[in-house]
Amino acid sequence: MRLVESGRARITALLVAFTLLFGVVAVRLVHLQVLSGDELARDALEQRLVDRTIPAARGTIFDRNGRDLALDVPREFVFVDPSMVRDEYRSEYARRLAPVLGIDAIDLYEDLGAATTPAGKPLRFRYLSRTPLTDRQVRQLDVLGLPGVATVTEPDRDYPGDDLAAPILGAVQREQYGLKGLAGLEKVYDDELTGTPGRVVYERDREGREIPHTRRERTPAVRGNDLILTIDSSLQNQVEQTLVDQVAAQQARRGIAIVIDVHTGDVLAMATAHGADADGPARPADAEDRNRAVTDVFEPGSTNKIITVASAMDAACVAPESVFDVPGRMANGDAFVSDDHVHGLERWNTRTIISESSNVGTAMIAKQCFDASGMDAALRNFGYGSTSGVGLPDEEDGILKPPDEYYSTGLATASFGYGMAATPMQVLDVYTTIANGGRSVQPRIVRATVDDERGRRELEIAPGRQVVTEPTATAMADMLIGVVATGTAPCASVRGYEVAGKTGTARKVGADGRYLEGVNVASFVGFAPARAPRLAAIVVLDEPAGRYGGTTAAPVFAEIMQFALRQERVVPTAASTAPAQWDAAAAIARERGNDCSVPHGDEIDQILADRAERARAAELAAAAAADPELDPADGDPSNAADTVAGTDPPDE
Amino acid sequence: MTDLRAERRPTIDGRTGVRGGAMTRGAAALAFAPAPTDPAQSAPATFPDRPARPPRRHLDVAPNPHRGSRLARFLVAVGIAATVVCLFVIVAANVVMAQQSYELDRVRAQQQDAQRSNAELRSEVARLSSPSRIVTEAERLGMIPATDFGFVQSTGAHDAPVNGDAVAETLRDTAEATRAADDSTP
Repeated sequence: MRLVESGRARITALLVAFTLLFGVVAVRLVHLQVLSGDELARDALEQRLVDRTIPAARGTIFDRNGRDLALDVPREFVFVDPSMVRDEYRSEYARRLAPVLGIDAIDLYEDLGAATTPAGKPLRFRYLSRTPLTDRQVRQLDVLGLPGVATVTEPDRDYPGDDLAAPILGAVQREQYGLKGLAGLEKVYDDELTGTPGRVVYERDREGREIPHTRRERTPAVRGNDLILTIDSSLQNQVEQTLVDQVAAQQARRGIAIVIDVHTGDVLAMATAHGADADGPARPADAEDRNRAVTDVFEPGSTNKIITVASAMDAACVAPESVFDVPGRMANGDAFVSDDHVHGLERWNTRTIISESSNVGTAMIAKQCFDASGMDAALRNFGYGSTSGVGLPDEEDGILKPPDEYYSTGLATASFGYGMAATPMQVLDVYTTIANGGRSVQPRIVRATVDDERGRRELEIAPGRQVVTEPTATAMADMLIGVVATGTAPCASVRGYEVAGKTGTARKVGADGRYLEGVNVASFVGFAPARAPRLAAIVVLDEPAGRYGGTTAAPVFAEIMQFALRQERVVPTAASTAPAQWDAAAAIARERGNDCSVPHGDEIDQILADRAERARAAELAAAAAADPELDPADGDPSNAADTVAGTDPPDE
Repeated sequence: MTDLRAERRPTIDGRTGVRGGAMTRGAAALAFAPAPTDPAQSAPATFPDRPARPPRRHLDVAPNPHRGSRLARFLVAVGIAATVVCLFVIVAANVVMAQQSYELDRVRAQQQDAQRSNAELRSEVARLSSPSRIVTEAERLGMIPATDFGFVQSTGAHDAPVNGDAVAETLRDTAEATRAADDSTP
């Protein structure tokens, strides 16, 4: 009987226990499924759900011949999901990742820390490095297998030519969903180049793989549009290398060169070179530099004289054969205007005034034909005071004084390019206008855009306008041929072609506002073939040792123009005229002792060594002159007469 | 004499009467006339002491209960089998789709790899064919830029036959011009 009662009690107890147990389970189930069900389901989905933005590939930038100048290449980048990195393991993560990524462990430690998004949710994605990973680094990360650290494939910008045309192309920076233009054309055409990011939503398993048949949206990314430039990469490379070599040989601070098609306004090459400095030897500008061909202004000096003369001729004030009695020095208000080379009173016509680059003669023409307003109008008529519209960022419009601030000296000085400032692009535009029969040409550097839907679209350019009459332009071209054949720029002559152009040598202004002696900006700007122009170019050297445009910038012009004419398949000028200019120029250059070549390779080192030797000899000679007891044993006294800065005789 | 009506069997639900005298179904069913309501008319004259028979009931032959049960069992069996087959098909389809999905993932990854490889190769081609690299490579091979060159110009119209003499003359002129230029190189 007792046994039966005991059994019943146990059964009852067990029943109660099970009832309680199932009760608890039931309560928990109700809590999970009913009370917290929605929230937990949401959390679970959030853990599985991946909502990813697909970065759109950026458009490619091509040169005029279809060569890639800038293109996107998918590369691996490392990121971390900070919510998966437990705080006690952060230092260990940092210690292991540092040698693989080449990043300081302390920086990594910071980046691995948890954070929240602006919406208050845990941050799930943070780049550990913005530098693309190498294949080796990807393998090393795989081996480490750190939870929460993974790689993602994203487009990266590649410039196959390295620094080729770098200031033109500009640069990009990585943003959360792709690349953004930071400078140059990458910045100006950022909207064109940038595509439309896509989006993908899916559920993933613990391995990160997509779970089949789960909720999913997929909007593919749309690639950005391509740009086709007017730049010829071969010519661009040639211009950069020639410019760098001359900047190095001339120990200039920097150099700028542009080559343009005079009929279409296509900029074929645009280069900036930096001279040797603390950062290294002479070199092409890189993507971090501004494009000085359109952002930096300089006093153009004598290259400005054709504006004065062409405007005077167009106003029927002077003719090419008009004669002036030109002194070597002339009063100008409370100052003087003088020519660079000393001469007495000369009876020169307009043609000779240009070929001899006479400041006095040009000032006489300006005073005869214009007042201050007229001079200002002439300068603006040729495009000074406004940007060229080439389509590059941060373009300057130059500096022009208001006519009422010319005072007694401004008219004369403006006539030969002082008291004002222009960019190299603006100066080249003036010569392009002359080469194009007096009609201005809108320069451009982007020829077309290409997109998948509409195909290739040529960019419209503003129509040109007649700046001076065609006869005036032809007469000016004829004068400029003389500048190269018998004037100040024999070194600009190009074998096989006839060249028209003008030298410019402008003294630089010091910190005290006064012009510095022997510190110049030397330039040459011209076009070829002179009687049927196809290409125009400008070369500007800042503080070259040789000082003068005719001996420092003109040889660079000749070398790049020779290359450009051949590159563009321009038929050589008829044999009856081209050799005549070449022969005449060669004879004058020999007479003046000008080498007229741009040194390359070892020649540059030899020139620099010779110049240093001469400078040392000059110093010793000067010291010996100051102290008669000092023996200049190490120097050659015959070199002591040479100037320190340069050895080329003044030619303009 | 046997009264067939006395052999009536009760129906399956224990009742012996029939409802409303309706005809029964089936070939074996017998139709009976409704029971007379006057006992005097129905009682036999030879057995006066015999108690009166209870009123005759109308009976039907009940359907075979086992017959419907077999059909139901068959239908249930078919249903179960169909369900099993359907479930199997669904599971199999899901498995296949899952496999295909992972395969799709794998192919997508391959596509991405191929695209990346293509882009890298294109970049490499661009790098190798860049002018600066070609110049550097040419210099490494000992090449130098041409310092001497000449021009050959066509002298005739496009449709004119190429004249050997004219070509020779042009070349001679060019050679002379080149020599002259060399002599006067500035």
